[in-house]
Amino acid sequence: MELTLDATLAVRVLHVIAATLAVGIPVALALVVAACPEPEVVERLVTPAERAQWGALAVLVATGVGNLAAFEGNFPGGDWETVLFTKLGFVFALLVVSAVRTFVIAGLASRPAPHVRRLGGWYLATAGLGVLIVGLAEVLAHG
Amino acid sequence: MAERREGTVRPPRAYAFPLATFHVCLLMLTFIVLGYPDLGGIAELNTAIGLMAFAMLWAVSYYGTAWALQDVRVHAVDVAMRRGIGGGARSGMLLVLAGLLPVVVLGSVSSPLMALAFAVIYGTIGMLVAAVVAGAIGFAFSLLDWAILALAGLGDGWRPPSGGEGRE
Repeated sequence: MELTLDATLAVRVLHVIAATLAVGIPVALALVVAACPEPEVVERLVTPAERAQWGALAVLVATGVGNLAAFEGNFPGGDWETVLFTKLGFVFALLVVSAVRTFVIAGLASRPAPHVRRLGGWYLATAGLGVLIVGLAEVLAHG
Repeated sequence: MAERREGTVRPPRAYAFPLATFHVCLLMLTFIVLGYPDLGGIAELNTAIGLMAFAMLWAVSYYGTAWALQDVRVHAVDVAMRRGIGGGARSGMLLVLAGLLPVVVLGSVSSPLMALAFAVIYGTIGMLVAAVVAGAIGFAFSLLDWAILALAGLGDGWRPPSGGEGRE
């Protein structure tokens, strides 16, 4: 099999890497928070994790637009469109939940330790939405 | 994320990165939904230009969001709206000035004098239109951001500690 690295393939590779981070980071953080570490540990982890998470979301959306542009307007139609718009709806939900989570973290930073555990739920919600989106992406790519 | 040390509080400006990213991603989603199936002709752009356009949009959004978040009282909805409109208008003007204007001027005129005239006319009108359109978008985002702050339990915002200035 001949492997050609063109721009479209590069964009898809970036898209998959970003999706891996967008799902993997919240799963990892949910597991860390579930282990009840010291609040300082959580605080030191979430700052870079949030930056990486938002960076991954930006790359995910930018490359997602690129993937759609690669169709040059010739979309499959029918159920494919329904799945696409369902996926976009979940992406919207993921963005909103991620934004709320980021500001929940901002609020928790000045509160006592037990509140920090609430973060696990937010990371799980983020990861759950991410997994749903990955599933729909799989349907879009392979039917 | 926020400083716990007494007497200081990290200003909301520290959240410009997530918020700017949130705004640009929502803009892109809106663009896809409204532009489908044409997507506004972006299929005609090559990949590098498309990614550069996204990066530029993100950069101007970051600039406008960071400007809007300078005020620690941004949680108050009226302040948020004013800052949102101002930040959006600044983003739009910067986008025209740094992004679209050089491309249009360099790509469409041959003589330096024509280029200058074109830059002045296009720049003036373009920046005015961009300020109005982007200001309206900034207004919409300010309401959304305010709702997100309220959902996150930050309805009181980042109030500076008593006696503190609330800025680093």
